[in-house]
Amino acid sequence: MHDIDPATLLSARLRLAQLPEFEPDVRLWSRIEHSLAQPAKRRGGRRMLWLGSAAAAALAAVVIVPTAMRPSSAEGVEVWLQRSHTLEQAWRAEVRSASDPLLRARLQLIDGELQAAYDRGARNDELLTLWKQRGDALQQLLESSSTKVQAVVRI
Amino acid sequence: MVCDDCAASRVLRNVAADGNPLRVNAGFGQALDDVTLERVRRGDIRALESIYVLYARSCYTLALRILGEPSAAEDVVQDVFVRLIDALSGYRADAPFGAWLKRLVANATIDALRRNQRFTGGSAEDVLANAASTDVGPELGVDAWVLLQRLPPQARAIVVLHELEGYTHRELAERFGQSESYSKSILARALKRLAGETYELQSRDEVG
Repeated sequence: MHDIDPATLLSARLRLAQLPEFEPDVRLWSRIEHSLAQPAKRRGGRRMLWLGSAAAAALAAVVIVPTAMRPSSAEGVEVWLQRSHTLEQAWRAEVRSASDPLLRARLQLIDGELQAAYDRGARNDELLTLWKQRGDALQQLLESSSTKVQAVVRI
Repeated sequence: MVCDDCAASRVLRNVAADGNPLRVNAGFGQALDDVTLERVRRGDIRALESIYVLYARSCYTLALRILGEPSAAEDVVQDVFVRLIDALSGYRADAPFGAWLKRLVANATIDALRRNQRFTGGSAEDVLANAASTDVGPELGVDAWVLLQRLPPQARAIVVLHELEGYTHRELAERFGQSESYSKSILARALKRLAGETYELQSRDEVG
């Protein structure tokens, strides 16, 4: 019932291959941008609330930012972004409850700073620094989790 | 807003004499860099615009081929891009971004068909019944677009998504809430109609 002879199929497919492509109206992006204006403000408000709570929770943790882990500036944002994502996956696979609460608070603070940087359209060099800090924070979290998990296993 | 290394800058650097960006046509297969993607995730509208510049043509073409009406297709593209920043939380990067975006557009287009009550869910015979009585004058020539638009919207959607966008019958069946057999039946009949009308119109042209 569903069989089509090869000649018919070929004819139909050749015809479909000739279909033109189309450009949308040049004003469409402006319409999209206009529609985004109000929701963007709402998103911004939510972010500010989140940022405020993250900052309050992490206030005490700021002083422990390691100075020995200053990353190289030669690497691009994309490299550090990928590193951060990879480390985060590894950290999530660990026992997260075993992580140091101060280090977790520091990660939240950096996330808040990253969001604020994106919101104001920060340049890539500023983002690069924050992504590096996030990678370092995750690395410390991972090491902290592993140490505590190993201690529990030994007991 | 500065986006010195992202796709927006690379694309928007190519500006035509009329001030509009030159669009690169490489379809949904164009790659998107992680930096631009992360900016969009964080709500950067200029980075979103760079995604629009890259994919708007493909999105619009897909929607228009199925819906057949420019204003309806533009509404679909607008809807997809307005929701894109929030929708990105569901993108896991285990598939190319373009393929994921294509799904969003296809789903939004099918939803538009449903909203406009153009998706009947009837039998394959019913779906193609109205198209059988339509006639195309020889002055139109053998035009792929005309032939496609002569199909009912439901059949058009299945032809476009299966033959041009790579959807499987299983995926179509799930999306349309029908069986795979239903999707196959609609496709077979629609392709026969496309091929048959091609022959018919070619004959008319040769006679004329």
